Amino acid sequence: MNLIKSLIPKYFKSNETLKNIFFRTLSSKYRVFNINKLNKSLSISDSFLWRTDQNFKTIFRFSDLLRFFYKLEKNNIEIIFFSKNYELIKTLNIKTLSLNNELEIDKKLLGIEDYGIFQVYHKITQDMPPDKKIILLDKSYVGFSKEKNFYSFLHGNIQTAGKELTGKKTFLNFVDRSVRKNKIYQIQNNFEEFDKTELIFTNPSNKRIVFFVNNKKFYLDSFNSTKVELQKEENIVRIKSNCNFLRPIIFNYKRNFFDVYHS
Amino acid sequence: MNFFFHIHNQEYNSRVSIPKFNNFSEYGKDLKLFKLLIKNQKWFVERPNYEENKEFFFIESHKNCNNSEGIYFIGFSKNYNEVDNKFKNKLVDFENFTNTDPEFRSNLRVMNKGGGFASYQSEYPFSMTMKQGSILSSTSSLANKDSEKNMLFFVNIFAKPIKEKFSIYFVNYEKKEIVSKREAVTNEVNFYRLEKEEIDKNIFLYSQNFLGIPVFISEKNFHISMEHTHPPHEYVHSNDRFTLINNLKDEFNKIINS
Repeated sequence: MNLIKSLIPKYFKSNETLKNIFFRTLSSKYRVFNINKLNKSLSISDSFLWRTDQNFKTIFRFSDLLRFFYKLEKNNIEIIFFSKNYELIKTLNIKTLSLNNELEIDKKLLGIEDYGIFQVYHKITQDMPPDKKIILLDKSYVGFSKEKNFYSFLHGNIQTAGKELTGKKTFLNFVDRSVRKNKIYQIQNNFEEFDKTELIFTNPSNKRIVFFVNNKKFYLDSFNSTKVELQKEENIVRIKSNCNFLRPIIFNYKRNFFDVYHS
Repeated sequence: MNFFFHIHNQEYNSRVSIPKFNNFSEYGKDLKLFKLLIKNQKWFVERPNYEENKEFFFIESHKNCNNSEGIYFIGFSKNYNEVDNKFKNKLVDFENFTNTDPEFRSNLRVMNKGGGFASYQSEYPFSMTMKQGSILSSTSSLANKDSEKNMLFFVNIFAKPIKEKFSIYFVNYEKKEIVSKREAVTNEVNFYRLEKEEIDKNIFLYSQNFLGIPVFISEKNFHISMEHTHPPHEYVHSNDRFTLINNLKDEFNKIINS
Protein backbone atom coordinates (compact mmCIF):
# COMPACT_ATOMS: atom_id res chain seq x y z
CA MET A 1 0.00 0.00 0.00
CA ASN A 2 2.83 2.42 0.87
CA LEU A 3 4.50 1.52 -2.40
CA ILE A 4 1.31 2.45 -4.25
CA LYS A 5 1.11 5.76 -2.35
CA SER A 6 4.71 6.58 -3.20
CA LEU A 7 3.93 6.08 -6.88
CA ILE A 8 1.30 8.84 -6.90
CA PRO A 9 2.77 11.78 -8.82
CA LYS A 10 2.98 15.09 -6.92
CA TYR A 11 0.45 16.92 -9.12
CA PHE A 12 -2.05 14.10 -8.51
CA LYS A 13 -1.62 14.46 -4.75
CA SER A 14 -3.04 17.96 -4.85
CA ASN A 15 -6.14 16.88 -6.75
CA GLU A 16 -8.45 14.56 -4.80
CA THR A 17 -10.37 13.27 -7.84
CA LEU A 18 -7.26 12.46 -9.85
CA LYS A 19 -5.63 10.93 -6.78
CA ASN A 20 -8.64 8.68 -6.20
CA ILE A 21 -8.70 7.53 -9.84
CA PHE A 22 -4.96 6.83 -9.74
CA PHE A 23 -5.19 4.96 -6.44
CA ARG A 24 -8.22 2.94 -7.53
CA THR A 25 -6.53 1.92 -10.74
CA LEU A 26 -3.33 0.67 -9.11
CA SER A 27 -4.77 -0.89 -6.01
CA SER A 28 -5.77 -4.54 -6.33
CA LYS A 29 -8.20 -4.22 -3.43
CA TYR A 30 -11.95 -4.01 -3.77
CA ARG A 31 -13.62 -0.66 -3.19
CA VAL A 32 -17.31 0.16 -3.16
CA PHE A 33 -19.19 3.40 -3.01
CA ASN A 34 -19.62 4.74 0.52
CA ILE A 35 -23.39 5.12 0.80
CA ASN A 36 -23.06 7.00 4.10
CA LYS A 37 -21.87 9.98 2.01
CA LEU A 38 -25.06 10.19 -0.10
CA ASN A 39 -26.90 13.47 0.21
CA LYS A 40 -30.34 12.31 -0.94
CA SER A 41 -33.02 9.97 0.35
CA LEU A 42 -32.75 6.61 -1.34
CA SER A 43 -33.82 3.02 -1.11
CA ILE A 44 -30.86 0.86 -2.08
CA SER A 45 -31.07 -2.75 -3.16
CA ASP A 46 -28.81 -5.72 -3.58
CA SER A 47 -29.03 -7.59 -6.88
CA PHE A 48 -30.82 -10.53 -5.30
CA LEU A 49 -30.60 -13.82 -7.17
CA TRP A 50 -33.69 -15.78 -8.23
CA ARG A 51 -33.67 -19.30 -9.66
CA THR A 52 -36.42 -21.30 -11.32
CA ASP A 53 -34.07 -23.50 -13.41
CA GLN A 54 -33.23 -27.15 -12.51
CA ASN A 55 -36.45 -27.42 -10.46
CA PHE A 56 -35.40 -24.60 -8.16
CA LYS A 57 -37.79 -22.14 -6.65
CA THR A 58 -36.94 -19.07 -4.62
CA ILE A 59 -38.44 -17.45 -1.58
CA PHE A 60 -37.84 -13.83 -0.59
CA ARG A 61 -38.29 -12.66 3.00
CA PHE A 62 -38.31 -8.92 3.45
CA SER A 63 -39.26 -6.28 6.01
CA ASP A 64 -41.15 -3.02 5.74
CA LEU A 65 -38.09 -0.96 6.69
CA LEU A 66 -39.91 2.40 6.54
CA ARG A 67 -42.46 1.14 9.04
CA PHE A 68 -39.95 -0.54 11.34
CA PHE A 69 -37.39 2.26 11.52
CA TYR A 70 -39.40 5.41 10.72
CA LYS A 71 -42.93 4.43 11.90
CA LEU A 72 -44.28 5.37 8.45
CA GLU A 73 -47.44 3.56 7.38
CA LYS A 74 -48.96 2.65 4.00
CA ASN A 75 -45.60 2.09 2.31
CA ASN A 76 -45.13 0.22 -0.94
CA ILE A 77 -42.40 -2.12 -1.99
CA GLU A 78 -41.48 -2.44 -5.64
CA ILE A 79 -39.80 -5.67 -6.73
CA ILE A 80 -38.37 -5.66 -10.25
CA PHE A 81 -37.39 -8.99 -11.84
CA PHE A 82 -34.78 -9.21 -14.58
CA SER A 83 -33.56 -12.11 -16.70
CA LYS A 84 -29.92 -13.19 -16.61
CA ASN A 85 -29.45 -10.81 -19.57
CA TYR A 86 -30.96 -7.93 -17.57
CA GLU A 87 -34.16 -7.87 -19.59
CA LEU A 88 -37.18 -6.73 -17.59
CA ILE A 89 -39.48 -9.66 -16.78
CA LYS A 90 -41.95 -8.24 -14.33
CA THR A 91 -42.53 -5.51 -11.75
CA LEU A 92 -44.53 -6.17 -8.59
CA ASN A 93 -45.91 -3.38 -6.44
CA ILE A 94 -46.71 -4.74 -3.00
CA LYS A 95 -49.05 -2.42 -1.16
CA THR A 96 -50.27 -4.15 1.97
CA LEU A 97 -47.25 -4.81 4.08
CA SER A 98 -46.68 -6.55 7.39
CA LEU A 99 -43.51 -5.88 9.33
CA ASN A 100 -42.00 -9.04 7.85
CA ASN A 101 -43.21 -10.46 4.55
CA GLU A 102 -42.63 -13.37 2.20
CA LEU A 103 -42.86 -13.85 -1.57
CA GLU A 104 -42.54 -17.15 -3.42
CA ILE A 105 -40.81 -16.82 -6.78
CA ASP A 106 -41.40 -19.73 -9.15
CA LYS A 107 -41.85 -20.30 -12.86
CA LYS A 108 -45.57 -19.60 -12.50
CA LEU A 109 -44.82 -16.10 -11.22
CA LEU A 110 -42.09 -15.30 -13.74
CA GLY A 111 -43.17 -17.46 -16.69
CA ILE A 112 -39.59 -18.63 -17.22
CA GLU A 113 -37.30 -21.47 -16.07
CA ASP A 114 -33.96 -19.75 -15.66
CA TYR A 115 -32.13 -17.49 -13.26
CA GLY A 116 -31.57 -13.74 -12.93
CA ILE A 117 -31.76 -10.91 -10.45
CA PHE A 118 -34.39 -8.83 -8.72
CA GLN A 119 -34.12 -5.41 -7.14
CA VAL A 120 -36.19 -4.23 -4.20
CA TYR A 121 -37.17 -0.62 -3.55
CA HIS A 122 -39.05 0.83 -0.59
CA LYS A 123 -41.47 3.58 -1.62
CA ILE A 124 -43.03 6.24 0.50
CA THR A 125 -46.68 7.12 -0.27
CA GLN A 126 -46.99 10.15 2.01
CA ASP A 127 -45.02 13.40 2.05
CA MET A 128 -41.39 12.96 3.04
CA PRO A 129 -40.79 14.04 6.64
CA PRO A 130 -39.33 17.59 6.37
CA ASP A 131 -35.53 17.94 6.74
CA LYS A 132 -35.18 14.20 6.81
CA LYS A 133 -32.66 12.21 4.79
CA ILE A 134 -33.57 8.52 4.69
CA ILE A 135 -31.15 5.96 3.26
CA LEU A 136 -32.29 2.36 3.42
CA LEU A 137 -30.24 -0.61 2.34
CA ASP A 138 -32.26 -3.76 1.80
CA LYS A 139 -30.21 -6.82 2.74
CA SER A 140 -33.14 -9.18 3.13
CA TYR A 141 -33.07 -12.96 2.95
CA VAL A 142 -33.44 -15.24 -0.06
CA GLY A 143 -34.06 -19.00 0.17
CA PHE A 144 -33.66 -21.62 -2.56
CA SER A 145 -35.54 -24.92 -2.72
CA LYS A 146 -34.69 -27.70 -5.18
CA GLU A 147 -37.09 -30.51 -6.12
CA LYS A 148 -39.58 -29.18 -3.54
CA ASN A 149 -37.11 -29.89 -0.73
CA PHE A 150 -36.40 -27.54 2.13
CA TYR A 151 -35.04 -24.05 1.52
CA SER A 152 -31.42 -23.00 2.01
CA PHE A 153 -31.23 -19.29 2.94
CA LEU A 154 -28.71 -16.51 2.49
CA HIS A 155 -28.78 -12.79 3.26
CA GLY A 156 -28.46 -9.83 0.92
CA ASN A 157 -24.95 -8.55 0.70
CA ILE A 158 -24.09 -5.39 -1.20
CA GLN A 159 -25.62 -2.20 -2.56
CA THR A 160 -25.90 -2.27 -6.35
CA ALA A 161 -28.86 -0.07 -7.32
CA GLY A 162 -30.92 2.68 -5.72
CA LYS A 163 -34.15 4.54 -6.26
CA GLU A 164 -35.56 7.71 -4.77
CA LEU A 165 -38.13 6.94 -2.06
CA THR A 166 -40.72 8.60 -4.28
CA GLY A 167 -39.88 5.95 -6.90
CA LYS A 168 -38.92 8.50 -9.53
CA LYS A 169 -35.21 8.30 -10.28
CA THR A 170 -32.96 5.20 -10.36
CA PHE A 171 -29.22 5.09 -9.62
CA LEU A 172 -27.05 2.24 -10.89
CA ASN A 173 -23.51 3.36 -10.15
CA PHE A 174 -22.78 2.02 -6.68
CA VAL A 175 -20.05 -0.35 -7.81
CA ASP A 176 -17.37 0.95 -10.12
CA ARG A 177 -15.10 -0.64 -12.67
CA SER A 178 -11.34 -0.28 -12.80
CA VAL A 179 -9.23 0.30 -15.90
CA ARG A 180 -6.98 -2.63 -15.01
CA LYS A 181 -8.05 -6.25 -14.51
CA ASN A 182 -6.28 -6.41 -11.16
CA LYS A 183 -9.02 -6.85 -8.56
CA ILE A 184 -8.41 -10.21 -6.94
CA TYR A 185 -10.82 -12.13 -4.76
CA GLN A 186 -9.91 -15.61 -3.61
CA ILE A 187 -12.88 -17.40 -2.08
CA GLN A 188 -12.00 -18.52 1.44
CA ASN A 189 -13.32 -22.04 1.14
CA ASN A 190 -12.27 -25.24 -0.57
CA PHE A 191 -14.50 -27.22 -2.90
CA GLU A 192 -12.71 -30.55 -2.90
CA GLU A 193 -15.40 -32.79 -1.50
CA PHE A 194 -18.51 -31.68 -3.39
CA ASP A 195 -20.11 -33.53 -6.30
CA LYS A 196 -20.73 -30.23 -8.06
CA THR A 197 -20.17 -26.52 -7.37
CA GLU A 198 -21.87 -23.68 -9.24
CA LEU A 199 -20.82 -20.05 -8.87
CA ILE A 200 -23.41 -17.49 -9.97
CA PHE A 201 -21.90 -14.13 -10.81
CA THR A 202 -23.82 -10.90 -11.30
CA ASN A 203 -22.10 -7.81 -12.67
CA PRO A 204 -23.02 -5.19 -10.03
CA SER A 205 -21.80 -2.25 -12.12
CA ASN A 206 -23.39 -0.31 -14.95
CA LYS A 207 -20.55 -1.14 -17.35
CA ARG A 208 -19.36 -4.32 -19.08
CA ILE A 209 -16.75 -6.20 -17.04
CA VAL A 210 -14.20 -8.89 -17.73
CA PHE A 211 -13.25 -11.50 -15.17
CA PHE A 212 -11.27 -14.70 -14.80
CA VAL A 213 -12.18 -17.72 -12.70
CA ASN A 214 -8.94 -19.65 -12.20
CA ASN A 215 -7.65 -18.16 -15.48
CA LYS A 216 -10.78 -18.94 -17.53
CA LYS A 217 -12.02 -15.69 -19.08
CA PHE A 218 -15.60 -14.36 -19.02
CA TYR A 219 -17.31 -11.15 -20.12
CA LEU A 220 -20.43 -9.92 -18.41
CA ASP A 221 -22.61 -6.96 -19.36
CA SER A 222 -24.09 -4.61 -16.78
CA PHE A 223 -26.36 -6.40 -14.25
CA ASN A 224 -26.15 -9.60 -16.27
CA SER A 225 -25.69 -12.92 -14.47
CA THR A 226 -23.82 -16.06 -15.44
CA LYS A 227 -23.38 -19.49 -13.94
CA VAL A 228 -19.90 -21.02 -13.80
CA GLU A 229 -19.56 -24.70 -12.93
CA LEU A 230 -16.26 -25.66 -11.35
CA GLN A 231 -14.24 -28.48 -12.84
CA LYS A 232 -13.50 -31.46 -10.56
CA GLU A 233 -9.88 -30.43 -10.00
CA GLU A 234 -10.74 -26.82 -9.04
CA ASN A 235 -10.57 -26.93 -5.23
CA ILE A 236 -9.65 -23.27 -4.87
CA VAL A 237 -11.29 -20.34 -6.68
CA ARG A 238 -9.33 -17.23 -7.54
CA ILE A 239 -11.27 -14.46 -9.26
CA LYS A 240 -9.51 -11.65 -11.08
CA SER A 241 -11.50 -8.83 -12.63
CA ASN A 242 -11.79 -5.16 -13.45
CA CYS A 243 -14.88 -4.84 -11.23
CA ASN A 244 -14.59 -3.24 -7.83
CA PHE A 245 -16.81 -5.81 -6.14
CA LEU A 246 -17.36 -9.17 -7.78
CA ARG A 247 -18.31 -11.99 -5.45
CA PRO A 248 -20.39 -14.95 -6.61
CA ILE A 249 -23.13 -16.84 -4.81
CA ILE A 250 -22.05 -20.44 -4.29
CA PHE A 251 -24.18 -23.57 -4.72
CA ASN A 252 -22.48 -26.74 -3.40
CA TYR A 253 -24.06 -30.13 -4.19
CA LYS A 254 -23.39 -33.45 -2.50
CA ARG A 255 -25.59 -36.53 -3.03
CA ASN A 256 -29.23 -35.33 -2.69
CA PHE A 257 -28.34 -32.18 -0.76
CA PHE A 258 -27.24 -28.71 -1.67
CA ASP A 259 -26.07 -25.61 0.19
CA VAL A 260 -26.09 -21.96 -0.88
CA TYR A 261 -24.07 -19.10 0.59
CA HIS A 262 -22.25 -15.88 -0.17
CA SER A 263 -18.62 -16.16 -1.09
CA MET B 1 -8.20 -9.46 13.78
CA ASN B 2 -10.93 -12.07 13.59
CA PHE B 3 -11.83 -15.00 15.79
CA PHE B 4 -13.45 -18.20 14.59
CA PHE B 5 -15.80 -20.61 16.33
CA HIS B 6 -17.43 -23.96 15.78
CA ILE B 7 -20.78 -25.49 16.61
CA HIS B 8 -21.22 -28.84 18.27
CA ASN B 9 -24.18 -30.55 19.87
CA GLN B 10 -25.92 -33.92 19.75
CA GLU B 11 -27.55 -33.16 16.41
CA TYR B 12 -24.83 -31.43 14.45
CA ASN B 13 -21.15 -31.80 13.85
CA SER B 14 -19.34 -28.88 12.38
CA ARG B 15 -16.27 -28.34 10.28
CA VAL B 16 -14.46 -25.01 10.30
CA SER B 17 -12.08 -24.39 7.41
CA ILE B 18 -9.76 -21.50 8.24
CA PRO B 19 -7.79 -20.36 5.20
CA LYS B 20 -4.06 -19.71 5.26
CA PHE B 21 -4.60 -17.03 2.61
CA ASN B 22 -6.51 -13.78 2.67
CA ASN B 23 -9.12 -12.90 0.07
CA PHE B 24 -6.53 -10.97 -1.97
CA SER B 25 -4.74 -14.30 -2.46
CA GLU B 26 -1.78 -13.48 -0.20
CA TYR B 27 -0.60 -16.58 1.66
CA GLY B 28 0.64 -16.31 5.24
CA LYS B 29 3.86 -18.28 5.54
CA ASP B 30 4.28 -20.19 8.83
CA LEU B 31 0.83 -19.32 10.08
CA LYS B 32 -0.16 -21.11 13.28
CA LEU B 33 -3.58 -21.93 14.66
CA PHE B 34 -4.28 -21.08 18.29
CA LYS B 35 -7.16 -21.95 20.58
CA LEU B 36 -8.36 -19.79 23.47
CA LEU B 37 -10.14 -21.22 26.49
CA ILE B 38 -11.19 -19.69 29.79
CA LYS B 39 -9.61 -21.30 32.85
CA ASN B 40 -9.86 -19.77 36.32
CA GLN B 41 -11.15 -16.49 34.85
CA LYS B 42 -8.09 -16.07 32.63
CA TRP B 43 -7.68 -16.59 28.90
CA PHE B 44 -5.50 -19.58 28.23
CA VAL B 45 -3.88 -20.20 24.85
CA GLU B 46 -3.30 -23.76 23.71
CA ARG B 47 -2.37 -25.68 20.59
CA PRO B 48 -5.65 -27.11 19.29
CA ASN B 49 -6.26 -30.45 17.66
CA TYR B 50 -6.70 -29.86 13.96
CA GLU B 51 -5.94 -31.13 10.51
CA GLU B 52 -4.38 -29.07 7.77
CA ASN B 53 -3.34 -29.00 4.18
CA LYS B 54 -1.40 -26.41 2.18
CA GLU B 55 -4.31 -23.97 2.16
CA PHE B 56 -6.46 -24.54 5.27
CA PHE B 57 -6.63 -25.45 8.93
CA PHE B 58 -9.60 -27.78 9.55
CA ILE B 59 -11.34 -28.21 12.88
CA GLU B 60 -13.88 -31.03 12.93
CA SER B 61 -15.99 -30.82 16.08
CA HIS B 62 -16.53 -34.59 16.49
CA LYS B 63 -12.87 -35.45 15.83
CA ASN B 64 -10.92 -32.54 17.23
CA CYS B 65 -12.80 -31.24 20.25
CA ASN B 66 -16.10 -33.02 20.98
CA ASN B 67 -17.63 -29.91 22.53
CA SER B 68 -18.23 -26.31 21.49
CA GLU B 69 -15.77 -24.79 24.00
CA GLY B 70 -13.05 -22.46 22.83
CA ILE B 71 -12.42 -19.95 20.07
CA TYR B 72 -9.71 -19.92 17.44
CA PHE B 73 -7.39 -17.42 15.78
CA ILE B 74 -4.38 -17.54 13.50
CA GLY B 75 -1.01 -15.81 13.93
CA PHE B 76 2.64 -16.02 13.03
CA SER B 77 4.22 -16.60 16.42
CA LYS B 78 5.92 -19.98 16.92
CA ASN B 79 5.81 -19.99 20.67
CA TYR B 80 2.51 -20.85 22.38
CA ASN B 81 3.75 -19.61 25.78
CA GLU B 82 4.71 -16.25 24.30
CA VAL B 83 1.22 -15.88 22.82
CA ASP B 84 -0.38 -17.09 26.04
CA ASN B 85 1.35 -14.29 27.97
CA LYS B 86 -0.26 -11.65 25.75
CA PHE B 87 -3.78 -12.84 26.58
CA LYS B 88 -4.65 -13.21 30.21
CA ASN B 89 -7.14 -10.67 31.43
CA LYS B 90 -8.60 -9.74 28.06
CA LEU B 91 -8.49 -10.52 24.36
CA VAL B 92 -5.90 -8.54 22.42
CA ASP B 93 -5.60 -7.51 18.80
CA PHE B 94 -2.82 -9.99 18.22
CA GLU B 95 -2.26 -9.98 14.46
CA ASN B 96 -3.38 -8.09 11.37
CA PHE B 97 -3.31 -10.83 8.70
CA THR B 98 -7.07 -11.21 9.07
CA ASN B 99 -7.72 -7.43 8.88
CA THR B 100 -9.04 -7.32 5.34
CA ASP B 101 -11.82 -5.58 3.47
CA PRO B 102 -13.96 -7.56 2.52
CA GLU B 103 -13.72 -9.44 5.80
CA PHE B 104 -11.41 -12.40 6.29
CA ARG B 105 -13.62 -15.44 6.76
CA SER B 106 -13.58 -19.10 7.58
CA ASN B 107 -16.20 -21.52 6.30
CA LEU B 108 -18.40 -22.91 9.06
CA ARG B 109 -20.34 -25.97 7.94
CA VAL B 110 -22.78 -28.05 9.98
CA MET B 111 -23.68 -31.60 9.08
CA ASN B 112 -26.42 -33.92 10.33
CA LYS B 113 -26.49 -37.70 10.49
CA GLY B 114 -28.59 -37.98 7.31
CA GLY B 115 -25.99 -36.34 5.06
CA GLY B 116 -27.55 -32.84 5.01
CA PHE B 117 -25.21 -29.90 5.31
CA ALA B 118 -25.25 -26.10 5.38
CA SER B 119 -22.60 -23.44 5.74
CA TYR B 120 -21.78 -19.78 5.77
CA GLN B 121 -18.60 -17.72 5.59
CA SER B 122 -18.12 -16.84 9.25
CA GLU B 123 -15.96 -14.67 11.47
CA TYR B 124 -16.24 -12.83 14.79
CA PRO B 125 -14.42 -9.47 14.54
CA PHE B 126 -12.12 -8.41 17.38
CA SER B 127 -13.82 -4.98 17.52
CA MET B 128 -17.10 -6.67 18.44
CA THR B 129 -15.51 -8.43 21.42
CA MET B 130 -14.70 -5.04 22.97
CA LYS B 131 -18.29 -3.81 23.01
CA GLN B 132 -21.37 -4.42 25.07
CA GLY B 133 -24.86 -3.74 23.78
CA SER B 134 -27.89 -5.52 22.47
CA ILE B 135 -28.79 -7.40 19.32
CA LEU B 136 -32.18 -7.05 17.70
CA SER B 137 -33.24 -9.44 15.01
CA SER B 138 -36.44 -10.81 13.47
CA THR B 139 -37.01 -14.55 13.98
CA SER B 140 -39.22 -15.19 10.96
CA SER B 141 -36.56 -14.03 8.48
CA LEU B 142 -34.63 -17.27 8.84
CA ALA B 143 -36.57 -19.64 11.09
CA ASN B 144 -39.34 -21.70 9.49
CA LYS B 145 -42.60 -22.73 11.10
CA ASP B 146 -43.04 -25.66 8.72
CA SER B 147 -39.64 -27.23 9.39
CA GLU B 148 -39.10 -30.13 11.77
CA LYS B 149 -36.45 -28.34 13.80
CA ASN B 150 -35.58 -24.69 14.32
CA MET B 151 -32.49 -23.85 16.29
CA LEU B 152 -30.68 -20.75 17.31
CA PHE B 153 -26.98 -20.61 18.05
CA PHE B 154 -26.24 -17.29 19.72
CA VAL B 155 -22.48 -16.82 19.61
CA ASN B 156 -20.92 -14.38 22.06
CA ILE B 157 -17.22 -13.63 22.33
CA PHE B 158 -16.41 -11.02 24.95
CA ALA B 159 -12.95 -9.58 25.63
CA LYS B 160 -12.96 -10.30 29.37
CA PRO B 161 -12.49 -13.97 30.34
CA ILE B 162 -15.80 -14.21 32.11
CA LYS B 163 -18.79 -16.51 31.93
CA GLU B 164 -21.56 -14.05 32.76
CA LYS B 165 -25.25 -14.80 32.39
CA PHE B 166 -27.47 -12.56 30.29
CA SER B 167 -30.94 -12.81 28.81
CA ILE B 168 -32.27 -13.26 25.31
CA TYR B 169 -35.90 -12.26 24.93
CA PHE B 170 -38.38 -13.16 22.22
CA VAL B 171 -40.68 -10.16 21.95
CA ASN B 172 -43.91 -9.69 20.05
CA TYR B 173 -43.34 -6.13 18.84
CA GLU B 174 -46.94 -5.58 17.71
CA LYS B 175 -48.50 -6.79 20.96
CA LYS B 176 -45.66 -5.25 23.02
CA GLU B 177 -45.22 -8.40 25.08
CA ILE B 178 -42.54 -10.92 25.94
CA VAL B 179 -43.15 -14.32 24.34
CA SER B 180 -40.28 -16.11 26.06
CA LYS B 181 -36.97 -15.54 27.80
CA ARG B 182 -33.82 -17.65 27.41
CA GLU B 183 -30.63 -17.60 29.41
CA ALA B 184 -27.30 -17.06 27.67
CA VAL B 185 -23.70 -17.03 28.87
CA THR B 186 -20.84 -14.87 27.62
CA ASN B 187 -17.99 -16.52 25.71
CA GLU B 188 -20.14 -19.44 24.67
CA VAL B 189 -22.00 -20.73 21.66
CA ASN B 190 -25.45 -20.68 23.28
CA PHE B 191 -27.83 -23.20 21.78
CA TYR B 192 -31.65 -23.11 21.82
CA ARG B 193 -34.35 -25.13 20.16
CA LEU B 194 -36.99 -22.66 19.00
CA GLU B 195 -40.66 -23.29 19.64
CA LYS B 196 -43.28 -22.53 16.95
CA GLU B 197 -44.70 -19.66 19.00
CA GLU B 198 -41.28 -17.97 18.91
CA ILE B 199 -41.39 -17.80 15.11
CA ASP B 200 -43.70 -15.11 13.79
CA LYS B 201 -43.53 -12.04 11.57
CA ASN B 202 -43.97 -9.80 14.63
CA ILE B 203 -41.50 -11.59 16.90
CA PHE B 204 -37.99 -10.28 17.42
CA LEU B 205 -35.04 -11.67 19.30
CA TYR B 206 -33.49 -9.14 21.68
CA SER B 207 -30.31 -9.75 23.67
CA GLN B 208 -29.86 -7.60 26.73
CA ASN B 209 -26.40 -6.24 27.67
CA PHE B 210 -24.27 -8.40 25.41
CA LEU B 211 -23.74 -8.58 21.66
CA GLY B 212 -23.55 -11.75 19.65
CA ILE B 213 -24.18 -13.35 16.29
CA PRO B 214 -27.57 -15.07 15.98
CA VAL B 215 -27.17 -18.09 13.69
CA PHE B 216 -30.43 -19.79 12.71
CA ILE B 217 -30.58 -23.44 11.65
CA SER B 218 -33.73 -25.08 10.28
CA GLU B 219 -34.09 -28.68 9.17
CA LYS B 220 -36.66 -30.74 7.26
CA ASN B 221 -36.14 -34.27 5.87
CA PHE B 222 -32.42 -33.89 6.69
CA HIS B 223 -32.14 -30.77 4.46
CA ILE B 224 -30.58 -27.95 6.49
CA SER B 225 -30.51 -24.18 6.19
CA MET B 226 -28.04 -22.11 8.21
CA GLU B 227 -27.56 -18.35 8.06
CA HIS B 228 -26.96 -15.44 10.41
CA THR B 229 -29.06 -12.30 10.65
CA HIS B 230 -27.82 -8.74 10.26
CA PRO B 231 -27.99 -6.16 13.06
CA PRO B 232 -30.49 -3.32 12.36
CA HIS B 233 -27.82 -0.67 11.66
CA GLU B 234 -26.94 -2.57 8.46
CA TYR B 235 -30.31 -1.55 7.00
CA VAL B 236 -30.24 2.19 7.70
CA HIS B 237 -27.49 4.51 6.48
CA SER B 238 -29.01 7.90 7.24
CA ASN B 239 -27.07 10.28 9.49
CA ASP B 240 -29.47 9.63 12.34
CA ARG B 241 -29.21 5.85 12.15
CA PHE B 242 -27.70 5.29 15.59
CA THR B 243 -30.33 7.54 17.22
CA LEU B 244 -33.04 5.67 15.34
CA ILE B 245 -31.75 2.30 16.41
CA ASN B 246 -31.22 3.39 20.01
CA ASN B 247 -34.83 4.59 20.07
CA LEU B 248 -35.97 1.25 18.71
CA LYS B 249 -33.94 -0.61 21.32
CA ASP B 250 -35.41 1.65 24.01
CA GLU B 251 -38.85 0.47 22.91
CA PHE B 252 -37.76 -3.14 23.39
CA ASN B 253 -36.20 -2.31 26.78
CA LYS B 254 -39.49 -0.76 27.86
CA ILE B 255 -41.41 -3.91 26.85
CA ILE B 256 -38.94 -6.09 28.74
CA ASN B 257 -38.93 -3.93 31.85
CA SER B 258 -42.67 -3.30 32.01
